[in-house]
Amino acid sequence: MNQASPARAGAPASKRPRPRGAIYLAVSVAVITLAWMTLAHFQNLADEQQLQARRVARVARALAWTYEQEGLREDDAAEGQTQRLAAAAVAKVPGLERALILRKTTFKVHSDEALAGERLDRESAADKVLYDTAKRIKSDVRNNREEREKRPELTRNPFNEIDVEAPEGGPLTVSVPVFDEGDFDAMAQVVAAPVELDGPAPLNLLLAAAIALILGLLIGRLITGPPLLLAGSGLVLCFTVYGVISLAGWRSDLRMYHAEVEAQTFAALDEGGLLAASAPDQQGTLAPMITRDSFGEARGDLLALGQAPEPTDSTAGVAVKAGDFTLTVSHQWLDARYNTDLDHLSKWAAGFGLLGMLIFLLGAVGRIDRAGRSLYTHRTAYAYLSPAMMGMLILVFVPVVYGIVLGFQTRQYNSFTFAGLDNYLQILSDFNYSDPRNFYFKLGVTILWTVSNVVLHVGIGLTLALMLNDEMLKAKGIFRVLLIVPWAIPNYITAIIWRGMFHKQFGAVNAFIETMGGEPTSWFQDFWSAFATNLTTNTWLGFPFMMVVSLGALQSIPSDLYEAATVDGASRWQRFKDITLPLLMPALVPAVIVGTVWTFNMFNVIYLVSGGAPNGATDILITDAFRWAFERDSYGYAAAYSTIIFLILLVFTLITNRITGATKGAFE
Amino acid sequence: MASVTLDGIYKRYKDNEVVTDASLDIEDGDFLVLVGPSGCGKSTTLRMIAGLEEISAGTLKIGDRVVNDLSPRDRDVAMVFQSYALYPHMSVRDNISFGLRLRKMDKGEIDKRVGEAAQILGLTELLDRKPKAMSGGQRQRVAMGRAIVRHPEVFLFDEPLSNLDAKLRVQMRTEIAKLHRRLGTTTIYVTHDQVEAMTLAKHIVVMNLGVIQQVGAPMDLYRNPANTFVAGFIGSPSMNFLDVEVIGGRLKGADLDLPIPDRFKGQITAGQQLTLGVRPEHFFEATGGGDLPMRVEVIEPLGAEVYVIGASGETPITARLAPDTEVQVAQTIGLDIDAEHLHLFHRDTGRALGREDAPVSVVGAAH
Repeated sequence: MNQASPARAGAPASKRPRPRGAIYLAVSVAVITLAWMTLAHFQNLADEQQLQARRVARVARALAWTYEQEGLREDDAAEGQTQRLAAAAVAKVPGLERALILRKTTFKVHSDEALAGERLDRESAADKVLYDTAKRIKSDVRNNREEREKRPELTRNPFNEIDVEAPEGGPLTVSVPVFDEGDFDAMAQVVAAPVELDGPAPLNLLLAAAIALILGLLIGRLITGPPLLLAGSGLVLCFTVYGVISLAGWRSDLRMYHAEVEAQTFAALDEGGLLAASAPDQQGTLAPMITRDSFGEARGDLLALGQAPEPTDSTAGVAVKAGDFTLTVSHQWLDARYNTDLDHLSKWAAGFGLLGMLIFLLGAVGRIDRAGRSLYTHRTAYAYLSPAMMGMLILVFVPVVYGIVLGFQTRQYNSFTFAGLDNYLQILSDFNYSDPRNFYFKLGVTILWTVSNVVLHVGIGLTLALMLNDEMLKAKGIFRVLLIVPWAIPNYITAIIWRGMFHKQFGAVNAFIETMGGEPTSWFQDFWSAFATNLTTNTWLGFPFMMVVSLGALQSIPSDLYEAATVDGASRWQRFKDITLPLLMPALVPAVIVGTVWTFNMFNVIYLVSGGAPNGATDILITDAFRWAFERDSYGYAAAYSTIIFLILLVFTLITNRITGATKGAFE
Repeated sequence: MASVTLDGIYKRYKDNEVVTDASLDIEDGDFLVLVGPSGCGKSTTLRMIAGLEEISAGTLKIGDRVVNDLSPRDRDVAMVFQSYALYPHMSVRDNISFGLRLRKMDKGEIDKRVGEAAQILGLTELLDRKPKAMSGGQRQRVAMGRAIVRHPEVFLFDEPLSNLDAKLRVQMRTEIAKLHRRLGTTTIYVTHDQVEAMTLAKHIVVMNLGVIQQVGAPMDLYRNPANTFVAGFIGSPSMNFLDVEVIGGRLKGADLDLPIPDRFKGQITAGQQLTLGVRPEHFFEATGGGDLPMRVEVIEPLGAEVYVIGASGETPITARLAPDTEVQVAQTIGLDIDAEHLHLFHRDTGRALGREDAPVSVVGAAH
């Protein structure tokens, strides 16, 4: 580095730019961040899986215990028994904080919305899930009976378990094995504290990264050129290998852990005498219950229990001693059961490593080096920019990123779980367009809304601008001010006023129609009339902007162009078509793009004037996104909705910009 | 091609008369330059001919047609603007062909004419560029191309060179002269630059305060200015003016005593108050006292000639001397006056002796 300094100063764009500490810093930070994110994701996943597994074990134990102690009677005399059982289970099983036991007989659902002996409180966030679940099952049973249909009241997963959603943070509910195929379903729900996972913490990784960074910087000080390149690449490679190996280690730990949980679960079930209930051959084999896969086929090799010999091939499964049994659980089964993503994670980690190396090589070629140098050279400029950038970061980028991230999650009861593309698929794969809540219906309404508005705004605005630009017009200033007034008034006030004017009984519009001898209209009962109220209001609000933009652009057109065209022989219309319009475009096209985006997202008018009436039909995408978030309580869904709206507008803008060259000026 | 006739043209804005009684006969194929200081009404006159301004009174004829009430498109004139007024959103080709396209001319004919014009103006390589990607001189050519493709009866130029730098201006001036020689179209050209006027024009019209001062061939205006305004405006540096009185058959001024040249005898009465006009090139450095003493203040050697600027008494004087002069600043020298070339004007009206029909010269309005 030292001996290289004069050369660098003399030749900033030399053939072989030398990588510097800054490059290494950038690469290391990038790779560490990515790797850390991978591991953090893995940690979450592992925690969740482990939690789930423990809950299954506890619930199984609780159920086993209650069966053993009390038994369950299938008659009406069992009134109050569910509460008693739940309370007893909480008292007996360590780690179990709350339990709800539902039991369904042929005629009746016994749950009584009770929890551990107390009535469930609908208002309490902690009890709401249990309460809602109980209510839902009850109403499903009632509906089934009324409609004489046999719909499944409780859906089962491929492992023959009742699925209950399990959001984190709220009351925790789990999927529970079904013990009786008859007309009795039992379900227990647990609220339990999260379990700490023992294992290599991300901190270790950070430590490794820090060492790599320091080493890299040191090497960077001592060597320049290819040796540094090799050293850096080597470090990134080592780092990647470390990540992959760690993940592989964790994977095997987690499998062991899950196997243990399974063993405990079955031990507990056995203790309660429940295994017998579902194992026909009395040999302690639980095959029929566990091995039913998603296709309903028996897979007897997945689990062997009891007297089965220990597996000779230790790679195929994990053997655990539990109670009187030695439980052997195959890897395949465990991975299917707990849906381990570790393979993917290893690939991701390797991918990040590769990416890191690519970035490093790129840096060596000089790209990042140049960026870093520019950052350094113009550090004063960047320093001046930084307050504004901080503001942008906090006020714009963070919310946007947060919104996008939220779109990949589902939210319930103040907690979010990763849902991948579920929200997007739900929104986009529903093609039932006749439903006013359907995305494509809304998209259609929104496009109709946007196009009709923008056409009216530009048409009226441009016409008025042409009139105001006429030299012969007197009192131009007064007209200009009057015409800008609709724009100057806050649009929610205007919207409320227009809503009042369209009131069926007291509105000015109907009053006017009546004085003209017409029949008053219920403006908000029909789609088209409701749409017209929105359109009227927003046209009133929107034309001044287009007028002001057009007027400004008109005034900037030099008059000698018109004179030249006149001498060239252009008529009034030809001058408008060949001179005015093309020269208005540079100002008008961005205004139309902005106007389109504004109208596309014009929340206030829709929400305040028609309010979506009739029946949500006049809602546009943005108001529906709002309703999804704040009226239908689906934040993730609403965030995905918003992201889709954003993408639509982004694509629209990019395309129009490309086609029209809107950001280029005519006078350049 | 056609002649253009202005007969008693007036232009008034409310109370303000911008052009007064302008009458001109412009022959077919003429190159007429309207020259005068800014605000003299020359551009307004041109714009009235183009049809961009209404004519308040008088008759305007192009060829045999009275065009007062015809729109520009029907007058068959083409105009080049000072700002060029190129359509910024059109390529050079579209700019040039705009007028032809408006007239729904056959496409092949348009291409042919555009090609020709581009050839003449050296624009062939630039036809697909936008005006913003061109230099001032190139834009100027495009503006001219737009005029010549139309094959109009009359070309109108409104200070076309004033936005160019000095060197380019000289070059374009030559090209305009060549173009006119080649096309022979009647041309009316407005400028405030008397050098442009002198070099380009077949005929010059000098205007001041809305009134035509004199019409004539460039050298005619130089030799026989009708009044002190024209005398001062044409010729560079300007003519020197000295107050004289006719006393005892001689012209007497502050430090001046000259015999009256023969050609003025008979037009002069004793005691008459006159203005003597002498161009700088008609002074000679006297070996003795000379006709006029001059205190030298500034010396401008230009190589082939030397301009000596100073004053005689209170009157500022500029004299052109031979390059070998040894005059020094602050020196007082004697100047001889070339009696053949001196001019005499009535001091009260500014009219030249013998040109009593000329407009009254308004003193101080010259540039």
